[in-house]
Amino acid sequence: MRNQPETQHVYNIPRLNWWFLISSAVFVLCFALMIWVDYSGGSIPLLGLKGDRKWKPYQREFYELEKKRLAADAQAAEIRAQEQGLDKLRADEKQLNEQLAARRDDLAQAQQEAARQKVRADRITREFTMEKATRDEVRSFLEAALARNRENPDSDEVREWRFKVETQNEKVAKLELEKQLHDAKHAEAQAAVAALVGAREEVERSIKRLLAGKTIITKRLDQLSSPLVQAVVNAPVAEFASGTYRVEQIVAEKHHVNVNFTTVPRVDRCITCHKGIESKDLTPEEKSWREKHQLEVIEWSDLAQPLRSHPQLDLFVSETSPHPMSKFGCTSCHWGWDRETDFSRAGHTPDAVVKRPYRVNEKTKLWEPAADDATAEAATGKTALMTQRDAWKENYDWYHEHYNLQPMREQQYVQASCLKCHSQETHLRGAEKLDHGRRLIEQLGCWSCHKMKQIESYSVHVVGAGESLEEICRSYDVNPDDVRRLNGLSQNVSLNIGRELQIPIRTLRNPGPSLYKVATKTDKEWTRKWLADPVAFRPNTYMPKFWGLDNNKGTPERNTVEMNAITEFLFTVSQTPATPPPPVKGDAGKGQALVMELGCLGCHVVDENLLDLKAPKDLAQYMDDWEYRRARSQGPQLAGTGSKTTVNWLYAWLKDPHAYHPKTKMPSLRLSDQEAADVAEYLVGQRHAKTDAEKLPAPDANVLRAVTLEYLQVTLPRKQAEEKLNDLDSFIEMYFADPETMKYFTDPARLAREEARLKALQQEYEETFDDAVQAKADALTTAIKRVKDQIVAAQKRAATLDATQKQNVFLGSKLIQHYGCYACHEIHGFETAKPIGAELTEWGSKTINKLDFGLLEMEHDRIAWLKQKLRAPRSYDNDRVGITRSPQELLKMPKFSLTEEQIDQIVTVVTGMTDEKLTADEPRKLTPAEHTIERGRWAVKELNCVGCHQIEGKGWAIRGTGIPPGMEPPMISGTPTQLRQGQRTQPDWLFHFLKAPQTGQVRPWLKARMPTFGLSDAEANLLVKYFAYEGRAQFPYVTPQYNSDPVHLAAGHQLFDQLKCALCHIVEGKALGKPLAEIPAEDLPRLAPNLSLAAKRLQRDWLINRWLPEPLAQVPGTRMPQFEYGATIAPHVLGGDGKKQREALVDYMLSLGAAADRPPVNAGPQHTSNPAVTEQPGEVKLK
Amino acid sequence: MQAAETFHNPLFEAFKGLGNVLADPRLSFTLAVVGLLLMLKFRRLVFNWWVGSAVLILEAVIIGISMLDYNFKLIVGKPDNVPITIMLFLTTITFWLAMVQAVNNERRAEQKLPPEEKETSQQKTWVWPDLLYIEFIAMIICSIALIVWAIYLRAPLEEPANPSATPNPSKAPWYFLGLQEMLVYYDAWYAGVVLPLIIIAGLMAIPYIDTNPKGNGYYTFAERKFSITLFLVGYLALWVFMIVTGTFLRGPGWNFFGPFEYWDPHKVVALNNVNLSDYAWIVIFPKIARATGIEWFNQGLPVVNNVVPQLLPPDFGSMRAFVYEVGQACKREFAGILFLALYFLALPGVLAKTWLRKFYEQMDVVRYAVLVGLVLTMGTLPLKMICRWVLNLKYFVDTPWIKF
Repeated sequence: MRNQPETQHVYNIPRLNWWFLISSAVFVLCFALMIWVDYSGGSIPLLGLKGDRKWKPYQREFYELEKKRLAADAQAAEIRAQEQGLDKLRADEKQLNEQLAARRDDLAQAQQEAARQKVRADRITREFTMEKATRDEVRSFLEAALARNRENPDSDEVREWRFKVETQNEKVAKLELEKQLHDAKHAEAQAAVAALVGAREEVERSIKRLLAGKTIITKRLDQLSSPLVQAVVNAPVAEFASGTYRVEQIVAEKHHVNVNFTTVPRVDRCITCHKGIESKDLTPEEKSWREKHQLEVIEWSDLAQPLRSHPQLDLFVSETSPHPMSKFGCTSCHWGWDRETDFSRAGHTPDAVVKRPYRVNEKTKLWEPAADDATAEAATGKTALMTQRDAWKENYDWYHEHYNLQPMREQQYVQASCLKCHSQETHLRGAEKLDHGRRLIEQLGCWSCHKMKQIESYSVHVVGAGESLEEICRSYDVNPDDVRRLNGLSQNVSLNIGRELQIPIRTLRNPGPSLYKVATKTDKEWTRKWLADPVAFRPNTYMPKFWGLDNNKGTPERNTVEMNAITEFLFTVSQTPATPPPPVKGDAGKGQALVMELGCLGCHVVDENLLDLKAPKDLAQYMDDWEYRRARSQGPQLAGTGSKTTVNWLYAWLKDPHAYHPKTKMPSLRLSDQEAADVAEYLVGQRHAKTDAEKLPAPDANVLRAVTLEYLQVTLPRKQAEEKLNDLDSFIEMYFADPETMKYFTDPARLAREEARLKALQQEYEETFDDAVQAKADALTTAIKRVKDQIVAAQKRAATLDATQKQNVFLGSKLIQHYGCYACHEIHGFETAKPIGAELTEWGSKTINKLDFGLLEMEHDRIAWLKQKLRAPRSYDNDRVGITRSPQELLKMPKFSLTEEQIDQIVTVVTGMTDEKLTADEPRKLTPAEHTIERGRWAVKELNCVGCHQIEGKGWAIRGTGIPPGMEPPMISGTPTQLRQGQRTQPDWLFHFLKAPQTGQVRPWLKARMPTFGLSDAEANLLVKYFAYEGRAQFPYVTPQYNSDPVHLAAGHQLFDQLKCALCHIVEGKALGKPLAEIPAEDLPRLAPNLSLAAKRLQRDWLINRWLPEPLAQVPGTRMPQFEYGATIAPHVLGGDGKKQREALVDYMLSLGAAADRPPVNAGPQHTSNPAVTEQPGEVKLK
Repeated sequence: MQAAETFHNPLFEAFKGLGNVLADPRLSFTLAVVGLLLMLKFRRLVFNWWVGSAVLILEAVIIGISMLDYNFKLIVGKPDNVPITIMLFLTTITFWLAMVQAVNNERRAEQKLPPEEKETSQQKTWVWPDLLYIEFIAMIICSIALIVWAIYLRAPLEEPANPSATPNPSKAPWYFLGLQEMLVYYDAWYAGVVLPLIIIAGLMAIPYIDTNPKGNGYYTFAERKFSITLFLVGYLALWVFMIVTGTFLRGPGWNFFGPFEYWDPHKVVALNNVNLSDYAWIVIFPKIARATGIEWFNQGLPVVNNVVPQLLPPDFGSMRAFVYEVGQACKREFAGILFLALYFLALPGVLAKTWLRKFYEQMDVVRYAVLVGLVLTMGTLPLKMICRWVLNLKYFVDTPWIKF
């Protein structure tokens, strides 16, 4: 380079040329590669490259199928056309063509003439149109001239224009005549042509009409099959215009995805690959028809993914379903990254880690699930046992995309998504897993420790113009105070229009029994055994286990002390009202019979194992096993009752359950003293041998001291804590006072404040001598005195305890706070304590990094975490206990005895509780009527009505307990076409019946007894309303009046006798011809309801129009005969008119019991208001 | 973690252990600075093609072997971090190239020869075809590299940004990681605003401070040892090294992780940093009190409330409160104030008489002051780093208004 002359090159130019050539070539290749990557869905293994458009091969496959389908459709259309006479039409066409060929000259001449006439007519028309336009123009000039010369309408200008208009008018008139003439001629010439060819054209049109469908199909088919068209429209770059292969998307306007800064509508591109998702399979008829004609049939539901159709097209995806794809998209239920088309990044989530046989599909080279019998073949190489995850890794290079905040839901938990819109509904048919999970959570009481808004559900009402809170509450029939509390409103609030009010639907009841009076019910020994292991005593209990779990099984002494302390606390502070022995001696044998026949078994089991319980076969149409178990586990299992409680307590409990616990779900069965004594005697004989025999270790006094000291040290320095250990009075006194006085213990300055207030009042009185002030002061004095007395009494009571007992009471109270026992049980002293569990309302959106997996070696996955938490709640403390976690830092969640299936159900619910914000239309807004129905369903569930009755097609669990057929409680409402309680009975009657069933006695022969639930007016009202709305009945109904015309009634009487109604039905205390008491037991199931009550009980319209014409359709299996009213049974009664006969019969029946209570009023509508229900929301419309 | 994907070998484990130990910033920073100074000292030995190639090869081999480790591969292989890996090599190459030339010129000067650049600068070249052609070809090759890079390393997409849940670690773009690293040691106001401004202003001031014509148009080291050493320490040790640290060694919670360590988001590090005033009032003074029996030394930290003058009503009483608080603050922070006063006010004078005497004599006072101010400001960073590591020192001066 050095010392080169200036004219020489620094570089060797020919070599640079080579460099240029090679680098340019490489550049072009790279550029082509870049375009290829962007365009193709294939792969170049040599370079380790894969095209970006991985969805293209799927679309290609779909179009291949579509071509097949279109070809088949086209053939089918052709065949259908032939079936409709295509051949004949074609033959006709041929024949007509031949005829026409014979007259070819005539036709040519006529056509020529028609053409000539058309030319002329057209020419005239054109001239005419032109002249008309010119006329319009000169007219406008004339008008302008008139406007200009308003003063002088006779001016030259006006006259000139007027003349022009007149001339033009003449021209137009002339031409119009001429035009009409030529048009007529033309029409004539055309008629001549039509006479010759009209018939043929008609045939042609018919053929076209028959083949219209085929034409459309063929057009699309041609487009898809033409290689040229396909190559052009799908060429790189050109494809953007109208390529066959394209990213397809649905914008779900109302379903938003949260991108943190804002929410945006979901843009689901899933259908880019899942193109066959809404392709419906053929109906069986269509399928067999096509098979008969040997046409291709594509089973979309049998295809491999991604082309398979959605398995529930009736409920989702299809346009006619309640969740059409165009509105809901895919990810609003399935989750996943909506805008993504890459398999892994879209968030596909494999199902649970279960290995199953997979087989390589020879055609696609993909691993596909094989039939289960392939397990044996697993060794052959073509099949292998693998998880779905493994298969996906093989097939799609699947990896877990951890940036995806909402990966798709696993197939088995997809029902979780229903919750975000449907949390208000009590039952979700079709989402059974979710439903069962919710029932479990309600029963287990998960909600009582962990707040879950989706469980304590509400409906949303958007405030309209001029609506007040009171009006809204009245329309929903809810207590305004409840609404205020739920929405955080003040007393006198005025609502803004458009405000969303939450209207409560459910009130949840504490899952555990009240412990206020526990000392009367059981003893300390049993309580400690129960706390130690509830499941050992009662296998299906919902009481969880707190001790002997992963993180505290290593400290049995401490556990014994803790359980003992809680027991001592509960029994020391328990109220102890007297439970005297039953006044009569009970008979266990009779008691057992009573338990069997009274209906106790609708809610309880005695010693059956609930988990193995299966619904009897004949119940299958009303309840599945799960529902049967749910109904039968409303109350606790009764086996072992004797080990737990005494005959005295049982007697008192049976006589009046609400006296022991006002909020209990246990109803009163109005047992007589003897009956109650019998049942108590029977139950107390049910002992649990293992529990009886069990001996518990005694608590160690040193451990007690140590643990007490530990809890004292939470608030006190060690030295002071040690001093306090023997001086615990000040800590425990409050528990011996009533809840009102307890405040004065927790806030010692309170009393001083009250006294200061009293002093101030007294001073004020001395200054003003105001009597009102004096009265206030007196009241305050009394109150202060009461509190002081209480305090002294409490202190005295506390002082009577010995040192160990004091430690126990202190420790017990701390432990109850620590474990949160009061969330499920009513415990004295903890009325206002807050539950200790974390809120789970948005758990489903919690990110993995917020979960503590402890030192467990497990997959870091949310569902895996949750399952492990439910299986072994304390296991996340493993290897930490005593090392990095002190006893009070240990996890506290107790262990419930759950099966894997139940865990899955709970997981479904909890993962469904997300922070997803729904737009205005969602969650579904309930109308007041729907709201009432949901509340009614909730009440029916709470009262477990389905334990004995059939409601909305579900129930009758009691039929599985060995009750004789015909002796079961009646059906209340069936499937939508069957009986509806709201249509059958009058609201008045139902209201009073629910409040006091003993007044009803519709079926006095039944041994099962309708219990007294102790419903309030509002509760009874709600049920009445629910049945009315659910039965699509008008509400409030018109109280039925009957036609008391003697002739009419006489006809009814005649029919009544002829049809032998009184044979089965109880009329005036008799049936089967004898008084009720004399009827032998085996005949009892043949009896029918008491007709004397019909007037007050039944709806006339229902009897006439629904019941008498079609009793079997109303109540399947009823013994009520279906008579052919009219000429068949009684041709001469009321002229053989069926309707009139039924009216007469019904009116006669209503007259039977009515006479005493209600004077008959002659026919004619009369509206009376219902005392039970006053408002009138009008016609009910249901979805 | 990820045991299945990790290569296991006792030798390799030892290598990783050594790597993790060396990466500890206390060690690596010291090694980097001392190593740089030693390399400059023994430049004749070090800066030649053989050692340069060996260093590059060694770098490549170490990174290559390290890639066998899952955790290392995870961090280095992140598409975001590829440019930093490339930067490691590029910095080495450019640094070496320049120093090789400088050493070469040093040798020539000893033989009384002019710098090599002086000779080549006499030549002339055609713009077309020589210059444009070669530029064009270089452009094509660069485009090829970028396209291939883009095809094989896809732009990383992460989850949607969430203001309430920032990613952990939350990292600035790679070229700002030096600044982010400074945030660990300085108050945010200084590291984020004041120091960057001083850096920019300082770089702009260089032509006015450094009027030495030596080295114009040719590479040299011997003729301007101070300037180049200062620049290299500032650029390589305090900037590039910080970027590399921030990229590869700072993990979740902005904790240090060895290059082969798993980035455990739950790593717990005991950090209890204290101010210089704590040392003065709580550690040293009580000792003096015990030794001398003067109770005044036992008073503990003076209390300073944050009184913000702008928010005070404009009456004298409040102003007095503010002045009082300032006094309290000065009292509490006297040690730090004293130290900084010595550092920024007395040290320049000392330097003028000793180490920087030549500069002081050649420059006027203003330019000397600016130079020393910049140099000392830069010096606070290693100073603060060392104090943090050794003494858990948070701030020299910590008042409600000024923290340093």
